[in-house]
Amino acid sequence: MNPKAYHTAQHQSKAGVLLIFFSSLYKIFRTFWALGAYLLISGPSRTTLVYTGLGLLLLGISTLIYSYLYYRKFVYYIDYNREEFVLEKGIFSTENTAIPFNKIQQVYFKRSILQRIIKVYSLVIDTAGSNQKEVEIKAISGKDANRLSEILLKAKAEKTQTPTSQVESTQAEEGDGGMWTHKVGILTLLKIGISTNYLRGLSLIFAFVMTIYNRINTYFKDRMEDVQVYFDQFSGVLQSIGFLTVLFLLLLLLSICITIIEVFIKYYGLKIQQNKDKIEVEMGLKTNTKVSLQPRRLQLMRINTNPVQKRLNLFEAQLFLSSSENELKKNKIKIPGLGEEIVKKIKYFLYPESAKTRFNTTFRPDKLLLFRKIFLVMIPVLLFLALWYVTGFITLSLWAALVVSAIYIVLAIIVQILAFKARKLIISEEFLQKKTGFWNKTEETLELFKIQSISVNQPIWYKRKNLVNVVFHTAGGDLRFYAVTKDILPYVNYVLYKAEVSSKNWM
Amino acid sequence: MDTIGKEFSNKQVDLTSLPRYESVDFSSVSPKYLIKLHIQTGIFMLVLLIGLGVFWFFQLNLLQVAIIFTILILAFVLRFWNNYKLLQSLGFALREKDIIYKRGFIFNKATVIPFNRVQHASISRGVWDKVLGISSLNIFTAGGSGSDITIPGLEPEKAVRLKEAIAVKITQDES
Repeated sequence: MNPKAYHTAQHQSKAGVLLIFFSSLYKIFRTFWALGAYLLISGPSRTTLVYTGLGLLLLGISTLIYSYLYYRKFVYYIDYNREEFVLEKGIFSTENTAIPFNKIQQVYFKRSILQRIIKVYSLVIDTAGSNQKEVEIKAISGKDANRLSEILLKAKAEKTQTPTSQVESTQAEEGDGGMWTHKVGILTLLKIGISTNYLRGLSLIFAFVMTIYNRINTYFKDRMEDVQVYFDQFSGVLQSIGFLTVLFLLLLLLSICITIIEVFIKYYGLKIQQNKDKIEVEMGLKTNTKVSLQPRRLQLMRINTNPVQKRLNLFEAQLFLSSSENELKKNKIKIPGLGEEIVKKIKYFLYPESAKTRFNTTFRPDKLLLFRKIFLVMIPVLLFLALWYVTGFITLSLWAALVVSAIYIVLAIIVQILAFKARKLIISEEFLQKKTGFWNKTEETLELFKIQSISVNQPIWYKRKNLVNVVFHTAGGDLRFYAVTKDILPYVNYVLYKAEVSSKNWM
Repeated sequence: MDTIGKEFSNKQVDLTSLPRYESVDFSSVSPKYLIKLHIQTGIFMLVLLIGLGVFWFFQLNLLQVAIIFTILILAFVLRFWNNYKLLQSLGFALREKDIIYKRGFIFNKATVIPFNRVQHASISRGVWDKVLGISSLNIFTAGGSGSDITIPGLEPEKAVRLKEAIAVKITQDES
């Protein structure tokens, strides 16, 4: 490869003119559409229409000229002497941005639908500056995008002095097609769509039952008063119940459809590829994002699943990254639809040492936490009863109100007990793992030396039982574990020790 | 990584003999901080009492005012007492590798920040701090607000010394 590639001023891909043109037109349209709509509705005369048309034509032409000029003035190049990437843009006022190689944090591609159609990419360069600015080249051909990002990443790796990244740069040789690739197909996306948001469906069912109940209730009340219209009423109620059922089914279908569409927009074309030193994730229909994931940036990993999804072999991974030391912008990547073996592979890649450990200590919270949780879930039922008793807002007879509350209380207590039993914190030689949830199971993993600090809280009422709340702070979020006995303190000291002796970079 | 592995081989046995953060000697902050807390609480109380007086003038009768007044006074007595206990519970300690800060009587909280995770440290002084001649030391990490600490009520020179000591520790870790 030519070592001095891109040292002269480069323009974007020719198709970039089109992209600029359409996006400025879209911007203009977004600002003025209300005006246009008003004009159309007000019933304009012929001359007004002609003038408007002429005006629009003029606007279009000037936008085209503007786009071309903008395209000509948009210039980027690499200054090898000063070790910078330089971007100049702007017609009237010129903006000149220079990014030193060592400030480059990340280089990645994005694609919107329009960019897909005209076959260009957005190249985004994340920087670690205090101005928190990122640079985006909106129309660049696939070939250029690949080469440029390769050069920049290489230059960055050479400039960053930390030994870890040097190792990475030597490993990041070109031409390796990745060790494995995992694609999430359309069928899997469908499965995700159906199995994720059934909660919304459940709440719909609940609303449905409540409406039916109210209907029947009023109907029975009416029957007492008037036997004559009994049959009329009855068929009427039946009819409206049938109507409601259809409506309900439609709503359920709609909700599932919306979820599926959401999932498709967000995750269409989800592809995970592992190279030697990083995992690349690509997804999205509307804006296609590509993120490269280096293990050292990972702060916290979360795996979610529930029994239904487990049966379908669907796991969701959430990765919390820290983007740069100065910005402290929290970055979260959500990857759904992973099979168990893929989760294992990712885990193994990110945490290669997780398998061997000398000890494995499990902590469970004290019963105090269970009582607190049960107390908290009792609040809604108290509110409900208060509403029912004081206001006439909820029309239920005494027994119905009691039955509803009793069912809720029993269910809530069972759920809380099961959730309490599932809650545990596992501390091993290198890792912290928190498991929660009996239905929606969540598993959070944290490498010990990645902690930023540890807080140990003790409210005054914990003192007698010798309990504490422990919070492990990381750059990607906190991991909290409540109401655990003081036996955990030696382990807190151990985690601190791990962070303090570690010479590894936490990001 | 291998060196850490080797170092580590005897750590399991050592778990109990690791340095314990909970049993270090904490230095307490200046009692002037208590004055600051009392002043702040006092001002808040005055504002509320004046508000109550205004209400009394316009629409409340004597009994209502008396009830609210007692509740307020009780709440503030509790508050002043809590200020006192808070000052007693405040403490910080520097170790070779980290800084420990504990505070709170009703909600006791201890935070430990290893020096190699400190982003930067700064000193801040509010109006009352200037009047009373104290300052606060802020220590920031990458872990967000929950993980940062602010040690109030330090003598200015002491705060500067602490800050410099921390700065030295940070650069030591980086080199």
